[in-house]
Amino acid sequence: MSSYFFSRLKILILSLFFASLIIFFMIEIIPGDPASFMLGINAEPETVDALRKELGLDISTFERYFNWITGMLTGDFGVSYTYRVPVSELVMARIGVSIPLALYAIFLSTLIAIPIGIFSASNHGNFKDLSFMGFTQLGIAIPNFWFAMVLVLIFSIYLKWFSAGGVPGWDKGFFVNLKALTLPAFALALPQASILARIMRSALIETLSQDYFRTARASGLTFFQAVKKHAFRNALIPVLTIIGLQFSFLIAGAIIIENVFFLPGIGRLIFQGIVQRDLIVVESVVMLLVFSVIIVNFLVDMAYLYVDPRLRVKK
Amino acid sequence: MKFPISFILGFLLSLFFLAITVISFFWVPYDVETLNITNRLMEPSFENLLGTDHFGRDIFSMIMIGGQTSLSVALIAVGLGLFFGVPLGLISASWRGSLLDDIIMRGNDLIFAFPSLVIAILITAVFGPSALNAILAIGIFNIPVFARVTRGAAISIWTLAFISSARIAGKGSFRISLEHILPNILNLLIVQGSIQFSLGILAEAGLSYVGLGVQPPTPSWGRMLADSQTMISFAPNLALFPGITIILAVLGLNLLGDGTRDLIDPRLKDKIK
Amino acid sequence: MSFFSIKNLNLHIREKKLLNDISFDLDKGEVLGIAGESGSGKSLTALSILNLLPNFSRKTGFIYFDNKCISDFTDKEMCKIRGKDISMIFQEPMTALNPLISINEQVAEPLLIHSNHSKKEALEIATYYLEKVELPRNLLNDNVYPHELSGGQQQRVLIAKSLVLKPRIIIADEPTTSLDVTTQKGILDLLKNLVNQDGISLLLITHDLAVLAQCAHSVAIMKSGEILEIGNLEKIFKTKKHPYTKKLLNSVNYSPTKKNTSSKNILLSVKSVSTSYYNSQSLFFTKQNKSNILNDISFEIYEGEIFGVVGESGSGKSTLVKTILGLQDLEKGEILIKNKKIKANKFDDLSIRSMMQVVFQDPYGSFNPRHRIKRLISEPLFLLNTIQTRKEIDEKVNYALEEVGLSPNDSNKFIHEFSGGQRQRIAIARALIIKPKLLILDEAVSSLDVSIKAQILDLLVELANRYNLTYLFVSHDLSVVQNIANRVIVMKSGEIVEQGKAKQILTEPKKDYTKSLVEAIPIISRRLLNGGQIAK
Repeated sequence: MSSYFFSRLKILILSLFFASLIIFFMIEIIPGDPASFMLGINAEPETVDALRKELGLDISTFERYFNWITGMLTGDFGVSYTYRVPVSELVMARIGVSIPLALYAIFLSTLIAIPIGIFSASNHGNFKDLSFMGFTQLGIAIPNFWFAMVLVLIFSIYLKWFSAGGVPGWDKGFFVNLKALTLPAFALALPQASILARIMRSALIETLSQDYFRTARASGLTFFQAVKKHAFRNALIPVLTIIGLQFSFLIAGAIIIENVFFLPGIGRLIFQGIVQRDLIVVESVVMLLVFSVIIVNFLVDMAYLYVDPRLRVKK
Repeated sequence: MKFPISFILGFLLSLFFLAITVISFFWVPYDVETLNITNRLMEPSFENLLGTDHFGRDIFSMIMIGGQTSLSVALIAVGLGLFFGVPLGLISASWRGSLLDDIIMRGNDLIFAFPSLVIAILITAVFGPSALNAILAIGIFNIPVFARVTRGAAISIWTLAFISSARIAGKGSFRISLEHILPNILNLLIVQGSIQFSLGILAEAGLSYVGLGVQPPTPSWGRMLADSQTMISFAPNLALFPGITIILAVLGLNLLGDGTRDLIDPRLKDKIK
Repeated sequence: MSFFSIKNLNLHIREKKLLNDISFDLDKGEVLGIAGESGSGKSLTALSILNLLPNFSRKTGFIYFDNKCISDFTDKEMCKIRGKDISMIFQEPMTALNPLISINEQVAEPLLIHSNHSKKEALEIATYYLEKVELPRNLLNDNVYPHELSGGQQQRVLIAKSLVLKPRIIIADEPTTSLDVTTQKGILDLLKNLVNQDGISLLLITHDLAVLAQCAHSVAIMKSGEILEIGNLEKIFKTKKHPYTKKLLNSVNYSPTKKNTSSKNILLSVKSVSTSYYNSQSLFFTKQNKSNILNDISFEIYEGEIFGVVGESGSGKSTLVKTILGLQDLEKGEILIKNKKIKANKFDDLSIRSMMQVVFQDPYGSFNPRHRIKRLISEPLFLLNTIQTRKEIDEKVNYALEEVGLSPNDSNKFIHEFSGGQRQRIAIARALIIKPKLLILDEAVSSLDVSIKAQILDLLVELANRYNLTYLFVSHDLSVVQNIANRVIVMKSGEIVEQGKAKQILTEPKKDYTKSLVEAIPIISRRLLNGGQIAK
């Protein structure tokens, strides 16, 4: 294993550590006592005391942080105040919606973006390129939740091809769920695909002007052979970076989109947590979201290792 | 000088939305705080340019006033990003490779792991929802964006020989950053600023839509969309017009940014020569 | 008719005419050199043959190959010729190879496209050719990537790639320009032998007439998109019929002579200086890898002399310049100017710094594009403690501009309005405005065309004679310093290999490394030039 791997791993661990500190102390700085904050102003003092004990607020801040972290590492996220069930159970029930939605959206956006990027780059500067780039400008400007509403209006209300919201649950079969997630995933994917297509195009145009592309053409490869064999992989490096960064936008987007389609995902959980002042749920779910962003970016860093031999330092 | 078409289009669109927002401070066609139920859900007409909503309020007037929230939140958020991000990027670049640079950059990565919506959720959980909440959430997310752009561009300029000449002329990092680095990356910052401005409008709309941004009765484009959702099957105009407003405003700013880049990027100019 | 010929080739890119009525023939086994300065159209001529021109190009005229007119072939038909019958080698080997694909796969690529070899056979043939271009054994394995090779080795890989299908013609576009002289010699010899062995015709494009003199049978001299002269190399070099040919030949390895005005007063003394490079220190982790850049360097420069520092890439000469200028920390030793210690990265004593100025290599990156010439040239005045009035500054700027052969009217222009040679003049004006004791010329003429280079060298000698200036003249090219410098040090891997009088080192080098450097300088022999002034 190269030193690159270890340096990235250290960054991963440090990032997770500092992220957990930020989240924990953000919740800590809530003015007043968390227990009375969660119960509201009209709560009985005995109830507040009981909750304080239940939340483990009678011990020091440091101890509570330590308990929270070690609990998380063993899968114990604490007990939700409003639902009276472990947070991990709540999360598990909802993650089956949010993760497939995010993956489906990444898949769709890559599927749409890469061919458009390649097509535009190979027609660099002409009418076809300009019209595609015009569309992507529009795609970037569309708010995804509004696009979701328009999709509902067209495909659910007028055409009645899809239901307007909800998922049947994975025990009802794969394809019915996939169908139910198609509109939300598409709504999420379109703006991301527009950005990705533009990045793909500019990265390809950059590699097309590189000397090694000219070398490839001079040794008899046709334009598309040379794109496939030499330009594409090189252009993939900036595209990977963007896919990694997009994951964070996708998480944010997914939380909003779940609202439009009434999907019982992580996003709904977190909003209910805020409304019901269930801080344990908010704290743990936020940590989980940040954790997933950091992990995805770590995976992207590892993908560079596969693509780029210059990072594989031999020992 | 020949202006690129994207610049002209973007400039006109941006100017239009800026104008209606500024005008709304002094005058709107109809008062949006009085409800007029008898006039509700009117189709677009000469009296109500874009129709009325379920309380009989004029949609065009609401869009004009909503612009106040959307534009000011996005603008202040960009300002926050510039104010903190650019100096951080400049410091990072002038001490590149140092521990300080490393701390700044790792800090940036860390903030990047918090999507603006997640920051908003955290702040809301602590302080409750408000417009300030939206500004902070979007602004904090903008800081690492500007820090990274600034650092990357500044580093490529630090390697040029004219910086060595300036150092040989006895100038220190601070003076060089101001005299030589900043003027040469200003173009890039203007372009990035317009892009972040447009992203800010989108993010504000999203936050208001889920109720983490500006609170009723203040109109905002995102809140108008949230209100319209339950009525989309029988009153699609309520969703359509604010949505198109957001799209055109964002499109305008993006085109303006792209156009400005084409206009001032000396590299592109050289290519055409 | 020859098996390859170009007839009346014209080329426009957008509305600009870049090639004007180019015609020439190439015979089997012939080495034809195309020589010219930048902008002469020599590379475009090469790209026209393979029809790999940039977008918005329009070409007319005829290119015949093997009795076929290939100039109106479609791209698909051309693909069958490119790499198979006509292959090409480019200038920058570091960027001409795909960084993500192993070298033997890249060499095998033309085989897989043009022939029916299996991948395994193709890789075997590739390895055979990599051996033939004398690549070291340990680089013949699978999974060797371009970044593990030196520039010269990368160029060898590209030569192997151009040879695998035994082409009829190889076009080599400045194949050695970005390489060190000692590497250049090896590559040229290799190329010459291989084309000789297989009877391949070679179209060698270069700005360096001395390189052509070593390999080419015939030569075409190009300028502004036209061929001025074409014919047998010996004849053209001897008759020097065209005035431009004469000018080019006179500029080859040009080094003007300077009066020896060196005194006994020591201006700069470098005392056992060592520096190291540390791998970037990352937050809390990664060990620091240390490598020596300069190792115990000592020398002295006397007032009024021109002191040459010669070395190939990686010799540490640019680090040496940085340490003298106080831009880089020393690990050991000290550097004194007029007996005052130069402190790295400290800007408290500007009077020490005002004793030296520098002219860098890159005429494009040396100036802030946002400032006007007046502001650019007056920047070093910051070092003077006295406050200057606007009028004083203007007078100094105008005087400095006139001094380097430019007009005071230029002071309100921006740098992009000037050519490369003019920019170096501006750089010299900027350096001399505070009348420094020591002027460091860091590869100051290396990126200029030969005829411009000669003018700048003349200007430098003239200024040195007039004001009794002291120069530290850093160059990768021994021939440039041969007459201009009084004394020279030769550097390799951070150490001084040899030092002494410039003339002596060039004629009777004592160390093997210096000998190989001297031998590698391409020269045009006296015989070819009919007793010209340049020969050894």
